[in-house]
Amino acid sequence: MAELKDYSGKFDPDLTLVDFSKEALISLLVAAGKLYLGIDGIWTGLMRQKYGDKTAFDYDKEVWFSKGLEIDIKQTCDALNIKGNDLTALFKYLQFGPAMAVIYVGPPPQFEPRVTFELKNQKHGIMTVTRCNSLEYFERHKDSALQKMACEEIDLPAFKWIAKRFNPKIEVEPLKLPPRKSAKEIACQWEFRLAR
Amino acid sequence: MDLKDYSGKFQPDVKLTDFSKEALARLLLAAGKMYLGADGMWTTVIRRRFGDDVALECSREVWDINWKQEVRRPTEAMNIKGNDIASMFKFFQVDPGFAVLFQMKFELSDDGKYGKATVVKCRTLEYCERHNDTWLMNLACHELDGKLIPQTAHLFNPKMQCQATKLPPRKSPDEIPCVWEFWLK
Repeated sequence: MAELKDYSGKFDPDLTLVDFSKEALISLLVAAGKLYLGIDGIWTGLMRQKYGDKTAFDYDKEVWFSKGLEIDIKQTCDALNIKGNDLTALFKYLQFGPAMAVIYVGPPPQFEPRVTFELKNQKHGIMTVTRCNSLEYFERHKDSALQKMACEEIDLPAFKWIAKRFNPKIEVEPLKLPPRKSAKEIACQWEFRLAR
Repeated sequence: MDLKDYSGKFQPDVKLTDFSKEALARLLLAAGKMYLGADGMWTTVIRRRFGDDVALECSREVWDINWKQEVRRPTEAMNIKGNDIASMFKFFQVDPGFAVLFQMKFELSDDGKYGKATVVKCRTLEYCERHNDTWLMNLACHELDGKLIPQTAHLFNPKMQCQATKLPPRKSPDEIPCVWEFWLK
């Protein structure tokens, strides 16, 4: 069977995912990543309406820090056979986590990454989010409470937690965090160091 | 480049397009598991704090919003159009919350006016059975899918009818989890 560029053609009951082209699979993967992060956003939004910001954000943290991040790391690393406990292993995971760099890509067919990684040496690396869908959503809705919660109360401790999960000696610090003055600025930048 | 996985060296410039289709399919499956897993974790947190009734109500409210996203995103990504049973089955096949995750079988009549979707293997049901959690099974299979699958049929075509002809619980793991039939009037 010729590789399918999308599923606009005839229904095929025996179709499998690998019958699609890479471009189609990546488009579907990006959709799945958005659904994944999106359902968390819907739950958080509902809890904010019912119980207020603080309670909602506490529950969101409980979701991610009790089990969510652990599962995210395991599922992503198992799918791509990522092993190791150094900075490169951590960066490999961050490059292709479906709720992270996977949804921050440009349009097909290139799917240009909007999260970039620079390994200065084996003990020092920089991750830069050049464009962030979530930040653009917060800016569009002028929701600074949610932005602060997502970037400072979830992402900051989450990156630290994830780094420690790979290696307790990896330290993470933000070099730049939102809010930003203009849409031309990068969204955020993070420094990772493997301590001696 | 066609990477079978990412066990090799870190490459700062590697892109999704550099991976093989098999690797992308595995990552897609992982994303589907995490998608439904995130919903499950939220349900667990609310259930623990407020009990079963509040968790049920909240879950219903979340899916009242989310189910349309689950239809929209994959159909847009895969350029699925049309309002017949075949079009809806195409969506089911690529849905990260449905056939991407669960082993399914689809049958369609020659005239396209009758279709049957069988879930042959269901991770959610197996989880509920493993944990002896009949409340969660009722939520997933009856309260959510029992309503959302007919709603999805209606969204594709208001003339489409849907009925579940088999639903959990089941007496043994050898039984199929569920069967859904669809008619176009």
